[in-house]
Amino acid sequence: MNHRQIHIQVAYALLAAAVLMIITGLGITEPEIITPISFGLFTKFISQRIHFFLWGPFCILFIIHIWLVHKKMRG
Amino acid sequence: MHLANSIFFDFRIHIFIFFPARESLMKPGSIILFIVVLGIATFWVFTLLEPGTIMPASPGGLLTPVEIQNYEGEDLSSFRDFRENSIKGPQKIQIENYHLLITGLVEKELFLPYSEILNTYPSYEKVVTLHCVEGWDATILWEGILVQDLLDDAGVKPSANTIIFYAEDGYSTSFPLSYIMERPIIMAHRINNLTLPTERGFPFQLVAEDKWGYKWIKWITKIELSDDQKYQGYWESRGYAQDADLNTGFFN
Repeated sequence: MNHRQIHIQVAYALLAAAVLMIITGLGITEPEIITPISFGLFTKFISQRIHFFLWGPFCILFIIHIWLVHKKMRG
Repeated sequence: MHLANSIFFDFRIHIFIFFPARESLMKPGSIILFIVVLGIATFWVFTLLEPGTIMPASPGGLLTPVEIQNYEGEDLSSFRDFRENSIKGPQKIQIENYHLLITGLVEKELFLPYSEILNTYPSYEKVVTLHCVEGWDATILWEGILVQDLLDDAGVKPSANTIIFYAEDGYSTSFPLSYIMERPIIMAHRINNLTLPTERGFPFQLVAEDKWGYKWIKWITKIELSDDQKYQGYWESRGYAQDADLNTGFFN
């Protein structure tokens, strides 16, 4: 896997994490909207668990993403 | 410096993806301006969305009660600072029909109208901060009656070890009886010198000190003494901690 492929994979993972952070964040504050439209998957409790769990991976992915851009700029 | 440039460059790429407009938009000043405008717009939208209609009624329409903002040197939050996150929306209780039922493992069942509760039992004031699991908090001057006083009148049977509070909307939560009997826990009927508004739980909200916000039950209609230590309230049965102590997490 070359540098470009890794960068794409990280970017997609970061995008997925960001979308999930937003959905679960809304699942905490607006469960009456998010729970039915997710067919009961994102309840307030589940949203909160995922949201808290995602914080670390999101930061790691974000740092890797920035680092890869930095490397690309220098290279 | 290179890292800062990289972050900035990365941000510019994303801006460009969403707004592939003129090159002038990509200047640092334009981006900073964009962020500031976006922040102000977001704040403005959320301010508009805030329920600003909750105003306690003025008795007799003579003078409008004023919410206090400071108590003995401590800054207080406003009752408008709470997020509305009840399970079925604010409950409008007709106070002339309201009775608080105290039942279960008691010597004498009580069925008390609002005025009798306020006239019979002494009120206490205290400043307590509510911490919500959503991440916000509110420091408020609460005024209310001691739950202990109600229980003393009802006479708790020795077999009781759990107290369960029920609300008008079907919400419920429970505590070990010792939490109520060993601490001066109040059921508030006033908030920052105002009668508790409908949105905040009129006629009574439990001030569950040192517990997460989902233990602060609003619109209380019934108190049951029980020996069922495993009783789970609304959020507890959905995975939240039974103890709900602030110094521990709120997940089981």
